[in-house]
Amino acid sequence: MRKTIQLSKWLLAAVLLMLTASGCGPDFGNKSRKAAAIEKIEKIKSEKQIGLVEYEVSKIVKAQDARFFKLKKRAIICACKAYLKAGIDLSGLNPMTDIVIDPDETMITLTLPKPTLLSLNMPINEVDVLYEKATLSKGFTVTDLNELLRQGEDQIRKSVPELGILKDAELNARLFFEPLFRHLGFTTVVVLFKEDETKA
Amino acid sequence: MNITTQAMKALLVNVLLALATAAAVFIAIGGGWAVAKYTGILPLKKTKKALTIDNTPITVEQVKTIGELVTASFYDETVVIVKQKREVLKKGSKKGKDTTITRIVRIPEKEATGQDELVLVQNAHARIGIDLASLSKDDLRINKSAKAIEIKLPDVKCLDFIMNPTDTDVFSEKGTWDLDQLKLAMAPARQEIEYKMNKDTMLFKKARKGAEDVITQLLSSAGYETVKVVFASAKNAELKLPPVEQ
Repeated sequence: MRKTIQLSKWLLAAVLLMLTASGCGPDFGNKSRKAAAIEKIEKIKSEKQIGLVEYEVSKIVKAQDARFFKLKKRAIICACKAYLKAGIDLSGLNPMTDIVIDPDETMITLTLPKPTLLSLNMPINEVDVLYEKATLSKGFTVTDLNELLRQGEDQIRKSVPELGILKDAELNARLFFEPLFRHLGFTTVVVLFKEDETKA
Repeated sequence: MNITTQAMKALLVNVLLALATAAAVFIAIGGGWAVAKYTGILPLKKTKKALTIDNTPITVEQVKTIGELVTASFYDETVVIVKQKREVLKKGSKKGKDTTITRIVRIPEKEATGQDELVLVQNAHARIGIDLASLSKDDLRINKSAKAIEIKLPDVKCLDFIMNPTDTDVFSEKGTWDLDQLKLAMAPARQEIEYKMNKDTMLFKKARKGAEDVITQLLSSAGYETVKVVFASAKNAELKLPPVEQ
């Protein structure tokens, strides 16, 4: 019997030791990593951008999950809208090298930076919850909702290269600069983009 | 008989001890896990499956050609604290269902705690510049022989005011809140940041200066030696050169 009691004691001690040793101490490394990332944002910043095209897009944000042996279920479907603007960031334009006028001053060649997404606006007032269901669950909190919308915003941002907005911005840049420089007295206006330089 | 009873007793004691050991192990593991979860010393939350949205298509509803010269941007953040309580208007139940009618009453921020509370850290971003689409041909005067050009620009304005979900940080949420209440909570944050932005004369001054610099640089690069940029809102906004002949 004594042996059994001793065995039990040892077993208990071993379990407690295991729990203590399994990383219950504070995670100093993690804390230092968290402290390292401090973002610096200027309140007022100078920009040099020409917005050339605006896309109004819509997206359905849907999510569902089940917890506690799939007994606690919840599902949500939201409709949201976003406004994307694309154009040229002129800070990448060097007037000395990127604007070239021929000697007789009739032809101008403009080599612009490639169009980029300048802004994405996803107003909360244009988000609607179309469907929401919760079984044995509290449902979606505002924190959850915001997280889902963040993911929706992220998906829209990542889809920009496939949306065609950058191609449209390129086309509109030509439509914007060609008449402008013709109006300024040039008979031939060539608008190129930085990547096109090799092709030209 | 005695031997059998003793053996039975020993067996019972052993079984009881085994059960006690199992219970002790269970309590130790459970207790340890609970303590670790409560104190947050173990990254237990990371094992929880994150809520993710499904991949859905993005529909392009409208495409608009614009011409906007953005020369300054403004960033700001504010904290919104909203407290509310549910006031019972009519209490009742029908066929086991709760038919109580309540209404949500906003209460001042500094009133007693223990109510529904929502704390947001709200960031916003505004883009300031000129809507070039409103420029007319009469706003541009050219004297080619003198290599002189004058342009009258519309005044700078806020072209975009952006408060995206990634700009919203729900710092604390106590009680029951929904999307409509979140929208209501965010409205004063927008008002406050817009007010600060409109009050910031430096911002609009910087945006005007930026627009003047960009236009001057562009026109100078096109060969014009004298470039004059005026804003329609300025007192002496008249252009001296004659209008361009059509």
